[in-house]
Amino acid sequence: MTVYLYCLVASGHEPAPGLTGLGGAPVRVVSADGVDAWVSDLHDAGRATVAHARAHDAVVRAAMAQETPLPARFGQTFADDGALCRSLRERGSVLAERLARVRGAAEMTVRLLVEPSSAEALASEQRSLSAAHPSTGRAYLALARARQEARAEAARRADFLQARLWQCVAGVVREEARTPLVWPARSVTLSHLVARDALATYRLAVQRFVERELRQPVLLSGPWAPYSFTEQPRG
Amino acid sequence: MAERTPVGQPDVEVLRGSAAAFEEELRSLAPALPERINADPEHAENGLAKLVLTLIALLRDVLEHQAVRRMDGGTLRDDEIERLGLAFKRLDERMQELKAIFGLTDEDLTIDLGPLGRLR
Repeated sequence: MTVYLYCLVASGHEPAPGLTGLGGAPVRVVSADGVDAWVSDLHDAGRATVAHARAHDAVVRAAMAQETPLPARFGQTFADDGALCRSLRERGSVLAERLARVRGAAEMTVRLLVEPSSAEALASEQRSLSAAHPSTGRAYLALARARQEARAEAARRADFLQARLWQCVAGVVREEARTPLVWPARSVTLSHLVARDALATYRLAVQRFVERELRQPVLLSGPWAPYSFTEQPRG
Repeated sequence: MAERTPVGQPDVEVLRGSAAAFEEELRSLAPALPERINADPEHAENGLAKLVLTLIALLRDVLEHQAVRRMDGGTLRDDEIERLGLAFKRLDERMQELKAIFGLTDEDLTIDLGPLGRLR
C-alpha cells in the first residue's frame, strides 16, 4: 500500500465526503505543520494512463473549488503517512511561501504558434535539396547554418511576443511562466498566475492584444490549478 | 476573500487561427513529453537508444554551431571546411539510420529534465 499525493492545501480545507481519486480510492487528508496533503491509499503506484491523469486533476480541481492548492506532480507516492509528514516538515517554510503565492489565484495559459519564417523556409528548402542530391561538406555546413538561424529567429520572435503580451497583462498577472520553445515544434506556451477576481479583466486584455497585434494562431485556456507555479520563481 | 471567488470550469478558446493547427502542434509535441525509463526488456533498448541519440544530437548541435562560426569567421581553410562538413554529414546520415532502426524521429530526440528544462 502506498500513499498517493494529489495536492497540498492550507490547513482547514477538507475534501467533500465521498470524493474519490485514482481507481476510485477515497481521498483523505494528512496534516503537517499547517499544510494539508490530499491523498489516497493505493495498492500500487498508479500507472500513467489518461484516466489516472484525469482522476488526479479532478481531485486537484475539487480542492481548487475551496482554495487554490499546490498541485503535486502526477505519480508522486510515499511509503506511508510518516514519510509524507517528514517530507512536508522538511520543506515547511518553502511550501508555506508557495501556497501564499498561489492563494486566491488561478492559472491561465496562452499558447502561440510562431509562424514559419524566411529562415525556416530556407532551412526546409535546403533539407529537401540535401535529401535529393549528395552534398559537399561546405553545403552541409551551410544547411547547418540555416537551421541555426531558423532556431535563433524563432526564439527571438517568441521573446518578442512574450514581452508584448506581458506589457498588456502585467497589471492583472502576479507571475508568468514560460514553457521553452520546443524544436522542431513551433509553439510557445505562456502561463499566467491571475487573481480569481481578475480573470475577466485578464481575458479581455489578452483578447485586445490578439486583435491588435497578432496574426498567428492563439489559444487561450483556463482557469486551471496552478500547475506551472509550484516551483520557486526563477530569478 | 479572493480565494472564495469560484473559478468555474476551464475553457479553451481559439482567439485566432484554427484548432486544427494546435492539434497538429500537439501531435508533434507528444513524443517530447517526459517519460519514465521503461524497464520492460522488450522496450528498454529503445529508451536507451533515444537517450544516447539525444546526447549525440546535442553534442552535434554544439559542434556544428562552433564549426559554422569558424567557417563564417574565416578561420577555417577550404579543405578544413570540406572535411568538417563531410564528417558532420556522415554523422547525420548514421543518425538517420539509427533513428529508423529504433523507430525514432527528430521530435523524439529531446529529454525533459523537469525544472532544469529540456535537453535539446
